Amino acid sequence: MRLLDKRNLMFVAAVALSACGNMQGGGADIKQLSTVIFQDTPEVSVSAQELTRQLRQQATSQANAHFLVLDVPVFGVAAPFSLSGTNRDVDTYLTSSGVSVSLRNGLLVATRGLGFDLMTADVTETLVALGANEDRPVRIHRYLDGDNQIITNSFVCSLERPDVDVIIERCVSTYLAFENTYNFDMNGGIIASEQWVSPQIGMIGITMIN
Amino acid sequence: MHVGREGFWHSRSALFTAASVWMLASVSLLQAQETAVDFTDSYNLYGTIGLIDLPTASSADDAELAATIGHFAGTTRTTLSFQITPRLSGSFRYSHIKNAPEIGGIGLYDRSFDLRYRLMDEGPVRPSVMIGLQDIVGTGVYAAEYIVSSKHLTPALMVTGGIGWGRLGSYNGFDNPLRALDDRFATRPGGTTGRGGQFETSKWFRGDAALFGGLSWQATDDLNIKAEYSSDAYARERSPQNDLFERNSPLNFGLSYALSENTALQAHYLYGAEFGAGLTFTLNPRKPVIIGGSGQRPTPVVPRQRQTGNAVAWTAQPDGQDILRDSMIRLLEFEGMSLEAMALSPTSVTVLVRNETYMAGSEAIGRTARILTRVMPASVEHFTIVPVVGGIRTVAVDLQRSDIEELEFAPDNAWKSFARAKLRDAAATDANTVLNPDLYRRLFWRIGPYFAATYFDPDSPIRGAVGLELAARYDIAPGVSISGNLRKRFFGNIGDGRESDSVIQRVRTDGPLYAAEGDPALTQLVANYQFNVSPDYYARFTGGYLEAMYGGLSAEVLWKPVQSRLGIGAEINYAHQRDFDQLFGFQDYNVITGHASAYYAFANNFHGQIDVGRYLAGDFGTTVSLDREFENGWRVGAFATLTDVSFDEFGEGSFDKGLRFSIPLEHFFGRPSRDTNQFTLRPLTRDGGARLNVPNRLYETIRENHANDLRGSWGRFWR
Repeated sequence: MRLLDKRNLMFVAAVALSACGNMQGGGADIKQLSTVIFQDTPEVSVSAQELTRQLRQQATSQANAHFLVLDVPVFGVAAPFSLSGTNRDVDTYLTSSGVSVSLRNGLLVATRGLGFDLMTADVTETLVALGANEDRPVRIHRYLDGDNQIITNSFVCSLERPDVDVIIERCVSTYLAFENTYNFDMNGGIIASEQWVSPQIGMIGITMIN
Repeated sequence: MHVGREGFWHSRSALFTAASVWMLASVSLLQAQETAVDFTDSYNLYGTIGLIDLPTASSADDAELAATIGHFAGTTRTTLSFQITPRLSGSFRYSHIKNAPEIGGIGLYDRSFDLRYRLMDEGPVRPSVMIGLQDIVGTGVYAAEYIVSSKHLTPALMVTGGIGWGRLGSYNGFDNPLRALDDRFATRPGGTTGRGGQFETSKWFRGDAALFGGLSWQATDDLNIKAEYSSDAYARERSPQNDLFERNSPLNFGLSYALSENTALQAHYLYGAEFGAGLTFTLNPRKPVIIGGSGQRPTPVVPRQRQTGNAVAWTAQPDGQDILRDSMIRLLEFEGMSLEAMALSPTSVTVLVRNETYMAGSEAIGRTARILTRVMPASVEHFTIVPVVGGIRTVAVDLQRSDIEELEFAPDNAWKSFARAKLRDAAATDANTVLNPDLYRRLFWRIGPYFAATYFDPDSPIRGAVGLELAARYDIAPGVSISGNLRKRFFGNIGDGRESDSVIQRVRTDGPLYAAEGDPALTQLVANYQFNVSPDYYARFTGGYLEAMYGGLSAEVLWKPVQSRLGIGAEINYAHQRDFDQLFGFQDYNVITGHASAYYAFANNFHGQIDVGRYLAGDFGTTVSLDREFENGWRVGAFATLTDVSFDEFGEGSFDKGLRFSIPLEHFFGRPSRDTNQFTLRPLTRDGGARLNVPNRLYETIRENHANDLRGSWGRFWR
């Protein structure tokens, strides 16, 4: 929540300082400000569960549309994302407000537009381990640092199956640790998950609609 | 002052008494609280990393900028420090020392400059060692040199001891041990060389030396408690002229409390007599508010289907090119860019793109590449992206569409995509391009607030003005434009400065007159033409009201190959001095001015520039500039100009010099923006070594898209 408050403050400050005109440069630009994260997402006040229920009802009538609901607790926001396309085995989902998440067989491999984004994640070993009951997969995350350089974090993980359709992945690196949870459907696909993005964004919830 | 051996031992015993009492107290406290706290180096009254009034051997985080205002006993010091490299730091200070009440007057405003270099890092056993030069230029009110050493006895407790000369050798001093090297070290010469502003090397490490030291204990994560034994006698402040305080004791006590990650408050009890306080703001260019920015997501790559049928059937469609071009325009605009022109063949496409949003050229290129995968027919495999800045085609980036498809989510996609991209000169890339008709013969304008400031006037440390600025640009054709700025001041005191006392042609010291009379002020109105001459060569012609004080004509040519770290340029100008009201009239003075310039991007992100030529007052000379640059757009640098204007004619300060800053606003707001706040801090503005401010200089126009800058920020390609 702290992050969100900061952004709201910045938004107010930016509006106060803003200029008008059709030329870039100088003061803040109203058009750009309108893309402040999730600002034009009407579902802000709706919980992820409620949103999921509503969308599942609608989805029965739109069989070809693919959606997920993304819950970002650090912003206190949940929003529907629609499938934009698939490159090889990675699906990218978008909101109209300028955020995207990319999933490889349900595992988060990239975010854009959240700030503190996950640039790429190499989850090859994790994917194998989830299917084959193997342990100690290594996953490698890449981030931008404050000076536009790519930094790499590698995590050693362990898998636990508390239930037949649930896997918990616990990962540690030198300074960081997180715990992802995956819920599977009958076909072995991930239908809901909580996955870690970055130290600042923390966990996000992903619920597949269809 | 000569105190001799007795003083030496006296000072040592006092130091050790204080130290042992303090240590006992802190050790007992430490036992009570064994939890590890992060030791935070804090800033002292001089605005450098240190204790209370004394330095330590610690450095700030690399690249940290710190602004400190500290006050005690009629002395106020405002300091800006920068950790230039991990070992080297510099500080610029503007201080005020009050006069004694019976003397009155405004007291002394003084500028000082320090350098500190960490010779040795702290190890498990060995301490860190720092050598420092305080107030090294000019009058030397705060002149002192020191070698200081610090060691953490526990993670939370640091002990510091050092030897100082100058001010720091003025209390309980002893014969300079460096006399063993040369007898000249025995005495410290007085006075200031010439008109000030010069390095006073003849004084460094000379005269009596003295010992100083102290302790710094991190009590909690936010609170640092300090005690020190000072070897500064404060002779000037205690003289009849100032008579600011009684120095009853060499011991100072203080604390530094972190109000937030970037703000620290200090409170002190100094010299057994005075309370003091300080406030420090820190800012690290490498730590923006939102890492990676809050800019919206890019267009996802759309991979081609394996079976694409009759691949080039689309070429037969008469309006095919227009449809594709319109799609490019729309998608680029959605991401804050504009399509200048496009050339399409069955297997390749060249797009000329204007980046109006992203600080990193690589991000604009990466976003454009992904948009191309969405728009272009499957047969188009070769993408050439040409970022255009002010009509100049800065570089041609050749990318293979199959690489973009393959690397979108590849683990090491940033480096791989750079390795596979080909950067080449773009002078020849406009063949067959279809211009975007909407970008030209069109007025762009903006109205918004402005803030202007001048610093270090003898009567007022800072003067400012706030008002409204109208900026407008009319693009006639690629590289051909008319642009202007009009300012209307609402309030401010920027025009209240003293009248110039310059003995040479007044080319800059009339600034206060311009500020007072220019309301409203036409600060710029120019016609500009700039273009690619041939591969590696660029040229510019500018005419009109070039800047607030001068109008005229300017011509420039630049050689800068895409892959080269070196650029060489030449500029010649006719400058005519404008009327103070900054409208359309001119005064009598005019001059031919111009420079040959060499620019070099060093591998360690330092950037150097040398300009040789004739300045506004007709003086001939050289300007040397050195900046530390960051891949996110920050720049912090310094410059100095020496010309054939003698130091005496130049006046106070002897020659032109200053610090300059480029601060991207994205750092503070997170949203993508190319806006930077640029400002220059000059200790004094005089008339020697003054350069004409010409808009649209070529090197800054093109360099962001050349290999060195693109490589540095290529991590942004996939943002």
